[in-house]
Amino acid sequence: MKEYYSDEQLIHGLRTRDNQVLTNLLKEYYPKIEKYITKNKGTKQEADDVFQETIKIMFKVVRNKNFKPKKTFNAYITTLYQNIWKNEVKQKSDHTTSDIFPETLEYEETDTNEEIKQEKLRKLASEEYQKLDKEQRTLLDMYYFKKKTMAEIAYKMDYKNTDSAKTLKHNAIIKLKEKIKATALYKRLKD
Amino acid sequence: MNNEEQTILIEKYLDRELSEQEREQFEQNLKTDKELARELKLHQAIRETIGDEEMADLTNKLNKITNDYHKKETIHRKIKQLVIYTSGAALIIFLITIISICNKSYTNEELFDQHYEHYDAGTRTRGKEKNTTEIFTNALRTYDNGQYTQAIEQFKQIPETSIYFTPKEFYTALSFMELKNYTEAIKHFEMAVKDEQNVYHDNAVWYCGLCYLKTNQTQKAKQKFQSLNNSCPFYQKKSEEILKNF
Repeated sequence: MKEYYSDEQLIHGLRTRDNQVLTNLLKEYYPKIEKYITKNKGTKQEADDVFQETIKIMFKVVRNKNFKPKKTFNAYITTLYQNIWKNEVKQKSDHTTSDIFPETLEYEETDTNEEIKQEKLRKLASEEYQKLDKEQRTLLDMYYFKKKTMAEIAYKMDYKNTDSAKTLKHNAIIKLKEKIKATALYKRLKD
Repeated sequence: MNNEEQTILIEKYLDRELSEQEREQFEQNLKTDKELARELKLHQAIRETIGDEEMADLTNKLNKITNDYHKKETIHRKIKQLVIYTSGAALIIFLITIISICNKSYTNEELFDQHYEHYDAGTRTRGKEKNTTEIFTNALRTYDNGQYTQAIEQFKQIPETSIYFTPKEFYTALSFMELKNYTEAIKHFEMAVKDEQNVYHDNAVWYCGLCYLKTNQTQKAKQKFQSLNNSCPFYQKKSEEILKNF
């Protein structure tokens, strides 16, 4: 059952990645997103992606403690998911979407395009990261995620020294960048 | 600056390993060099993808709740379908039953089985009646005890001239019915129905009709039941019912 949360509770819950708040957001917004997308030439799978992108962008936005929506949380998130989908459709073809849902009445004028692009770039990076070989993934994971020092990495990965570890890390990053840049999506995103 | 050098420079900038002067220079370049700015964004995206612990946690939680939601949604959809199908099936079965009840034409055998009930002579409850001849009373007792062959023999002893003639014909017929000898039963019922004033008349007509049914003499059975239209309400109703189902 859906529970009522105030905007402050939603923002706080999202900021702390509270399971109940996330579940509530899913119950509240997933059906709306699915309806909006499937009415506008999208699929259920795309609705899943848009929901996740919306919540992730919202999370990035609310992580900034000073965040306050100009109107309401609902208006912000509605604008966001509609913009995400419009962006997607624009990239796929030239056809325009028809906004037929009442939530557009609570549209919040906000520039989320940059955040949307950056989220797409993160998703693309994540997909291409999975395509790296295991050693490169382990190396980047140890450095960026586990925050290990180069000395620790060199020791654990049995590299000659810290410099070797640094070089291999840079090589892994270059490789990942090349993979990302080779995709059609990146070419569209950078323009 | 080649690709490797640029990567190293951006990584150093993001790891805060540049000197203040190098840092200022780098930020100055960012304002004019679009390619460098774009590269920086890409590095930031990569770092956030791999290194953002909170985002990784959020992604895991979102994946889990989304999967759970879809599973529940699928189960709900299946239950809903099941309820719809079951209700539909129940409704169809109900309608078929109603239609078949309304329209079913019964076989004579079925009609007989539905309507035949043993006729009780009532001697066990009535006791011995003073005005009843001994033979007739004993025969009725024998009948009520289910000894139909003996009862028939006893009823045979009652002469045609007796006031018990029509009743004895009626009970003789019933005894033959119990013995499943419907042809003989019909003969005696036909004798019994001749006396229209007798209290057994309507009963005799009803059972005679049933015997005709049992022996597949449908027209004769119908005639018997139709003749009950002006009889007592009990047999009127029963005969209407049976005629409706022919």
